[in-house]
Amino acid sequence: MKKNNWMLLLARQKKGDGGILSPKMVLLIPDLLFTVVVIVITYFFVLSIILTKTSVSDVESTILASYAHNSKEGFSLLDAKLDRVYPGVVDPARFTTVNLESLFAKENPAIVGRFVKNQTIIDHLRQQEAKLPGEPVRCIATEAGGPVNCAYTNQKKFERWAPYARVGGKGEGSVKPYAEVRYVDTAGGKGAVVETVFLAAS
Amino acid sequence: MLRSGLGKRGDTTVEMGFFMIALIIAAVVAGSFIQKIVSDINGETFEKNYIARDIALTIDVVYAAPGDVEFTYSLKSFKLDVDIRESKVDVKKNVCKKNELPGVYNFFGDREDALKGIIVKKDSGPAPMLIVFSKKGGEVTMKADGNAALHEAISDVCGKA
Repeated sequence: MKKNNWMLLLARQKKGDGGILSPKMVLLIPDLLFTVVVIVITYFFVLSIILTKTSVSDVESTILASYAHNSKEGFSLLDAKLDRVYPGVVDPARFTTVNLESLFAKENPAIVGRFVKNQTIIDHLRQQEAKLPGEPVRCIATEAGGPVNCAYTNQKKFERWAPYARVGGKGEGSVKPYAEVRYVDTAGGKGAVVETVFLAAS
Repeated sequence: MLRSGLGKRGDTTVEMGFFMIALIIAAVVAGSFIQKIVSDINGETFEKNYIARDIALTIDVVYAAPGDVEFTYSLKSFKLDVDIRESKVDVKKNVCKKNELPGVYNFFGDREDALKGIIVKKDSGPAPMLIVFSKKGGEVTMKADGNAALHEAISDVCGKA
């Protein structure tokens, strides 16, 4: 047997008399690992044919969209004097990613969303790409230096997940889009269309 | 006694020792997986995940409500312990069992006033466990009703050990 054999080097355990353990014993370690791998694979195989959870992302996206529309910390018009929110009336000054990221603050969210506000139905129809799967939406400033028409609950994660949602993969680890459209009023008195897309990991 | 092998008999004895250790570790791993598979097959995992999701979504709805709201959530015939903290709902058969896998789901409320508490069954009677979620003046609170008791910390339920 070669002296530089790695297995022998691993197996060598000097005792007082310089005895060497058999390499066969070292082979028991990968043996054990393979046994565990087989058990784990069997477990996941069994798990794949048993229903252990339900997907609630569809309902959750609707709830979270309502959260942004209805909450005092969301983007709807707030009368600070009366401490009253006007759901359905969007305040463009509050329609910001900073505001939504504060409302949906979470270390590692399993669902993230993007809200796109288009001033007219024509803009909305032109911006069909706002719906996923499709091309990335172009977030534009409504006025020079004014508020942008896009707001995210977690922009970094949304942009990371968007390509996976467009691919439309299935199974564990895939990302699915949940879209909805709401017709709203704005604080300026003009109507608008708010299009929401939430992305959730399976 | 194991001998580090010089001769063939020593090698075989040590090999047997290693084989036994491997067998014990494999048995422990297999045991825990079998326990989980049994729990999956009899629907326990599904129930726990279902209740965790249902309660988490209920909390999201209460937070999302534009005005004041009070909602009583009934666990109906389920006798499960619910641990709500750090924007997470954990559902277990027994909250004190550390090795029991919980049904887990997150809700959005990652802030200082996020809900916190452990709801456990009072007794094994037929009355349903009720959790009352309230939102008043923007503050969300919860209390237990029916066959449920609310505790602030896990040590209140399971003791210090």
